[in-house]
Amino acid sequence: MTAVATVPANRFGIAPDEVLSVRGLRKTFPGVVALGGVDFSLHRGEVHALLGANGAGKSTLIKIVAGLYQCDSGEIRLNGAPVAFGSTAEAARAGISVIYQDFALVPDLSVAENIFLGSEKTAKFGLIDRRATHAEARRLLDLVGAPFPTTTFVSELGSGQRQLVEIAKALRSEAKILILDEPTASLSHAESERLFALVRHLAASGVGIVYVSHRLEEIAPLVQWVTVLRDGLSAGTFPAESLDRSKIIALITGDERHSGRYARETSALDAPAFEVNRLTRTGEFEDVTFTVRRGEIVVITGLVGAGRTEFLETVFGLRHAECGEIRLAGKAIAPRTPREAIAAGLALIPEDRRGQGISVVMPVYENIALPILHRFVSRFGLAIRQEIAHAEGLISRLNIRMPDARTPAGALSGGNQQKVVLAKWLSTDATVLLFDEPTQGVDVAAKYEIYGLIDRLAAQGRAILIVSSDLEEVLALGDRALAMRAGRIVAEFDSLTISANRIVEAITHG
Amino acid sequence: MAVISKSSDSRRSWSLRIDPAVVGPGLALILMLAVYSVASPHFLTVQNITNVFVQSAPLLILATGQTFALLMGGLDLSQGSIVSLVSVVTAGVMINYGIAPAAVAGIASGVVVGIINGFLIGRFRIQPFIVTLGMLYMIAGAALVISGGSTVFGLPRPDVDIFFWFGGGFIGPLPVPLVIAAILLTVAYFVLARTPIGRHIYAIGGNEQVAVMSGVDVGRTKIFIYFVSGTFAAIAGFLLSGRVISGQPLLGAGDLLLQSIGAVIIGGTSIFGGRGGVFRTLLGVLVVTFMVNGLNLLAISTFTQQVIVGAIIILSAWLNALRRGSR
Repeated sequence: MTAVATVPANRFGIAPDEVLSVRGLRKTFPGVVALGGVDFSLHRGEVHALLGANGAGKSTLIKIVAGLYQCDSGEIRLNGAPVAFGSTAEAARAGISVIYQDFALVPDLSVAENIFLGSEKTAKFGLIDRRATHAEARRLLDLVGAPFPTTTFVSELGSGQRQLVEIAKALRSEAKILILDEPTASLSHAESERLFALVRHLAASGVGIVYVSHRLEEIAPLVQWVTVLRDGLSAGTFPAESLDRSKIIALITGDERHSGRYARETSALDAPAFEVNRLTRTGEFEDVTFTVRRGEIVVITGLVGAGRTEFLETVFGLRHAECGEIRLAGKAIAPRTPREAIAAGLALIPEDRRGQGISVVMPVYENIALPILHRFVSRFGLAIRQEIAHAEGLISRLNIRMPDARTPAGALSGGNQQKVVLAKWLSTDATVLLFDEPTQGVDVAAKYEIYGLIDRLAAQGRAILIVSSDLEEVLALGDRALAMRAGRIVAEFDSLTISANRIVEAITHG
Repeated sequence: MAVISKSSDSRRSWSLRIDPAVVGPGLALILMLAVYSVASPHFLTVQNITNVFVQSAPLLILATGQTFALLMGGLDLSQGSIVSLVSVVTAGVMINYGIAPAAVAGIASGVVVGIINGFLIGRFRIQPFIVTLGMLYMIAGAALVISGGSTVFGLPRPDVDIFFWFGGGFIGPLPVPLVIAAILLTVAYFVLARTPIGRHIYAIGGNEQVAVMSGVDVGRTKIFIYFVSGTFAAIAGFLLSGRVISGQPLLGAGDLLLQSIGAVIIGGTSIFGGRGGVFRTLLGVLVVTFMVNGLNLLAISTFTQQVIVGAIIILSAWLNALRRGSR
């Protein structure tokens, strides 16, 4: 860590181009100190990366700056003047635009209506000026490189396209500060490149940009400064060129434990646990055929929209195959509901954590116990103490950070929520585990913990099928990898033939 | 390690924990009792308090059933019509066949309506609001058709006494309807807090998609919810008819339904589902019935009472929103 360049002395002095200055920001939630006195400084025209593990305080910092939360103590200055936003609307008026991880779009409104929601373009008598709305929306969509019409309903868009609308919305007003929280999580490679170009363009025109991402490879070419948060405190601000990947990981985790690539021991046995044969849903995926053996980890990779999520949902009974068959331990199954899939021995850890993975209003222990409630039935009804004890065992095993097992799951950070979803399925008797983007939006430290867990599950003899867009993940985890493009398996790699270049080649060109 | 040490005395902390949602309506109830005791000499008498409890019993039963529907994010608008149907079916059967077949047929008629609601909502996936609104009309109409639009009088002699015993009799010092309400409330609490299906109701109210993905049989759970709501409404209808010892086709046509929903909301159960419970509902029922009783004693007109009850519903929803916002 001594090799890392330190902050130039003048950076925290009074600088004329400093647009945002945060000093000693402190925020506590019941049982958790989210921010314990954080300093942060953003200048005109710079792209500043904000990094940190789950629960390090990134989201809290962003939400305070955006007016969603109020801080307990500390000071925020905008262009040198102290501010205290009581609402997101006040922050927006002051020129702060935020693009959040969770989409904040209304599905049943058009793209143009969503972009101007809350600041509608009006003509005479306060009526909405449709022509101006659509013209301006078109201009913003062109700026972010979105080809679809402004009249499209958001419900018809995929998640990558929604992200573009979200960005266009953030640009509707003249933002002085733009905060992007994991903006590329659901974007394809080409869409990401366009976003980077846009970020550079905005920075060049004088906007200060805060960029939150877990994809470290994106950071280097894009940003000038890096601030790392760890356990609610700042681990320092550094010029981007002074850091490399292993240094960043060391700063995030607080030690150099994770600097090497994750290596797993293959433990494949011979018995086929899970087979699909010519499984087809026209327009989504066709003729999908492969086998996963006991103790094996198979990764399906591909671009967004390749049909991978649809395939997993079909196996799990959320959709129904038109033809083809699914076999579990040699026995054909055709689950019509997730309930039947679970009974057959399947588990799905979904991509949409808050929509499908956990109930945010339920306490953590109730979330974990939900699929296995029958185990806790005693003569006097549900044994709640046993449920809590069961949850606490998993909480410490998975290193989930929270004040208490009775905390509502919605109060946890993204990575800890994902671990709760894992904990929920670990206690079932599932023989085949399906993961959809298991580490999306999860920080580096938690990512390796999750890899270790998946590996242990395979070592127990369970069959693991993972859908992932993260190349590093494919290489780190998969005993075998299947490349999917436009609904078809176009290539298969084993540990001898697998390489990043070959995978990219397969999923883009076939 | 803090987590571990807390678990060792989890039972104690569990039983001592006060639901923060009950503080608002609890304080309102206490304040109200204090004001009425001072304002009216007739309020704090054994006679009056007993009266209030007897009167609150049917509402408590209805609102307890309604709590199930609200907890899953639904609603049961057909409760009032079920009360009317049970009333005329019970009385009609009693004239020819006596009390026992009448009780069975009467209550069964309400249970069947609940199960139909449940199938339409759980299996055919129609919105609870629409299903129970339609049922509100259909069953109200059916009650009028069955009775020919007029009150069913002339119930046979020994049977009618037993009938009245259910609606207004006593076991020792305890009013029968209150005993029945207390038993049903206890059963409802146990089901919601201590059984898998109860937990499934909260899970559906919290996030239905998560419940589906976790293997909860959502359709069956919804059928169960409306079966409970219909059954509780049927029992309330039976007790109310016993009190008036006749079959009244308009018995549940008044503001009974709205009081039932109102009491659940005043108690603090979220109309979006997932949060709440029957003890909150008990508190809501007590607030509503004591409020009405006190205003009656103070000779304030029923018209004014309606204004006040409505204001309290909005006020309590506002208090809940404040509490949630401050978290």
